[in-house]
Amino acid sequence: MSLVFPNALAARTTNLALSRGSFWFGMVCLAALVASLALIFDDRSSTRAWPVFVALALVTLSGIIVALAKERMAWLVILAASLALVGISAYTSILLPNLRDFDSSDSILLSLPKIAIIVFGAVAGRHYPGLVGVGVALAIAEIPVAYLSVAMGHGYALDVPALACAALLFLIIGLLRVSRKRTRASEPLITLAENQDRAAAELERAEHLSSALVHDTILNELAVVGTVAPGTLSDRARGQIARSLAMRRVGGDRSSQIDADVLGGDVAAAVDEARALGLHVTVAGDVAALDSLDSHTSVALGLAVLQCLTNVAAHAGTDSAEVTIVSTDNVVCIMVVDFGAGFVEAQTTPDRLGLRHSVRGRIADVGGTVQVWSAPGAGTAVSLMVPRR
Amino acid sequence: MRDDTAQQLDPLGGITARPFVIGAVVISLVVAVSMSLTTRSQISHPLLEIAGLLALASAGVVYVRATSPFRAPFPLRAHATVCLLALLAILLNSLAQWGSNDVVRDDWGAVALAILTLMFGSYRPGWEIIVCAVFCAAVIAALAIAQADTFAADVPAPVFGILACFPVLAAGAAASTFSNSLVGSLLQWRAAQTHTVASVVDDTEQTTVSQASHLVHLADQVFPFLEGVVHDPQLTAADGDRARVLARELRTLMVLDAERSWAVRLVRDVHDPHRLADRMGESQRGFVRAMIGHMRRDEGLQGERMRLTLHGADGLATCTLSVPTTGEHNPRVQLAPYIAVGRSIFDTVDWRVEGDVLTLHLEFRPNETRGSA
Repeated sequence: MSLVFPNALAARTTNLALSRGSFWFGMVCLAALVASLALIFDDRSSTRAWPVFVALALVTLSGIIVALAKERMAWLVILAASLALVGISAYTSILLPNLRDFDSSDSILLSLPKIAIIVFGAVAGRHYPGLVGVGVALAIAEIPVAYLSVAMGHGYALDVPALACAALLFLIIGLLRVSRKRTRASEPLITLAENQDRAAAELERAEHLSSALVHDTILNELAVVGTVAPGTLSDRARGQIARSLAMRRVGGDRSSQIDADVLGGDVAAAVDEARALGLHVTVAGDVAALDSLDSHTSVALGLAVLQCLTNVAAHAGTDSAEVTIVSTDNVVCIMVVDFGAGFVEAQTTPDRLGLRHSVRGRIADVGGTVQVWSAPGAGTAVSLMVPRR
Repeated sequence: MRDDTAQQLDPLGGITARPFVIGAVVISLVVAVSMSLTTRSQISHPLLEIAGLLALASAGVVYVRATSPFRAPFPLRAHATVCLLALLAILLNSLAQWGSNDVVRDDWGAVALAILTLMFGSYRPGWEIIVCAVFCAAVIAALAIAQADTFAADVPAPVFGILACFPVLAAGAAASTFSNSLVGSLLQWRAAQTHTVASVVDDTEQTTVSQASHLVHLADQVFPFLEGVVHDPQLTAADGDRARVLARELRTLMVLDAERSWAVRLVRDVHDPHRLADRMGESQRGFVRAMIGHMRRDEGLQGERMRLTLHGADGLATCTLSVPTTGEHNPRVQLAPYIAVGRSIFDTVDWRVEGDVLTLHLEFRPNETRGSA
């Protein structure tokens, strides 16, 4: 999971969130206005003023249309702006005669729909420049109210709350880009480091596979060359070296396939190879469960079993071992048991790479786990548990 | 109800929002002071008014402090404290005008709290913001209704309540929606994210350093030797000696490679006796890598003399990065985004400059899932 949100998406998602937040700000303003007017008109038993609610419905509708408008639907935004203009004009001309003579264009009952229209301008900022949206909305909200207020003898007064609201939106939209640019400069660097970490982890995994393969092949070939007497190398040994070189060179993923070709039935092939070393191996349990493993897991399990059996042949001081297969719905478990010399794993020398690379490393790479039970003189049991397909 | 916050999901977003928090605090104080001055004829208890302004200033201080990237994430406790201090300011403002308050709309309390509430969206979950806003709005409405007899306007008392509390309700709805929208987008992005491994790592130093030594040995020495054997199967005693030497070298290098953690591949001076670096989660490793990259690039730091130390036990481990400074500039500003990100990944992130050494302490629980999210 990435540590930081990409800058490219941050601007878009913040604009979307700002637009949605602005919409509900406007809606709450309109709801507060409708509730207040309803209480006032009810108190005065006034029925002449009911058309203000129709006018406010037009303003509300304008906000809903802006919120629903998709990109490249400029005509919808223009329609919303027209509805807002008609709505606020109608509302003002109906409401003003019901206000006190000294109430002017900054009455709170006029401020509220103006604020709603101004924030609806920010809603348009999802698809269009937000500053332009707020500017146009401010003009739509303020000019008709000011004109009608003056024309109807109520005069003009600077509507501080509405203008402050517009100024706040200008400030937020304008500074958001600057602030984002300044504070998110580290995002590309953190993302790069994350990618590097994943690449390094992949590299490490590839090295792990490589180490296991080297242990199983190249080191053996060097041992052969290092131990045979001077003279002509046998064709068999020469062919084996050529195959090992070919396997090593094809790389991580494809090497598994080549291993599979060489080993044939994976675990069965491992058992055959151990028998060829002179080990008497008995197999028991749910052999059919091995068919439920994917090829990658099967190959890894086969090679790990081979390494366990090789360890028995080389170090256990016994010529027999048991391989038992147990399965559940989710996992397949193979136990490799011998009744030989046993050992203390913590006391093995660091250069004993077989258990680490060829068993633990391989099984871990396919999402499995390894457990070893051993004690000097009491034999060894290795449990290899891998997930089913 | 979702408890995720935008700041937790995108710590850099929290830093982007902080200047707006500072701006909101300043604006709310300016609004409060200027409205106090313009309505001073309605104030019957000036000391209570001053106390109200001080309470609002305290709310601002708590707000600005708690949104610092060095204290991220912004906690519920800070949210509650800011709201309660602002409510106290509103109460004191109302008491200062009790019996002499003519107009409800020129009371600064609700406006100031609304301005502060607007910025909560980047820091707290949506449901918490709206619950808090509704609670504050109810208190404000109750105070306004309680003063209804003194207001000049001839409207029903509940109207005063509505007009007094709508700024906080509107700001709460806006901030809550902002938070929900942002968190939704961030969660969608996380769900859609795939673990794409960078195919090109444009930092040649790191790729070179991370090349396993046994692979180099294989490519340079072992393969050519074995290819020679396959090509010419006539072996001499020297070939046997060479094979034994190569096998010994290869085995030694494989052991060394197996012992080398990812941290050793990044920093030359690493002290990690318990191999705790290998027990960090994916995100934690990514962060430490990013931090190391920053320390190398920052001209105010001597990146080549960096030291990485890991110690601790199974329960809690500490990763300490220390690097000498050049004294050219204070690293605080450049560190801020990293600290904010780090605080979303590690249990504790602490930094200090002592003498000429910058030290960063990161606490984590080895092998816990938090870092591998």
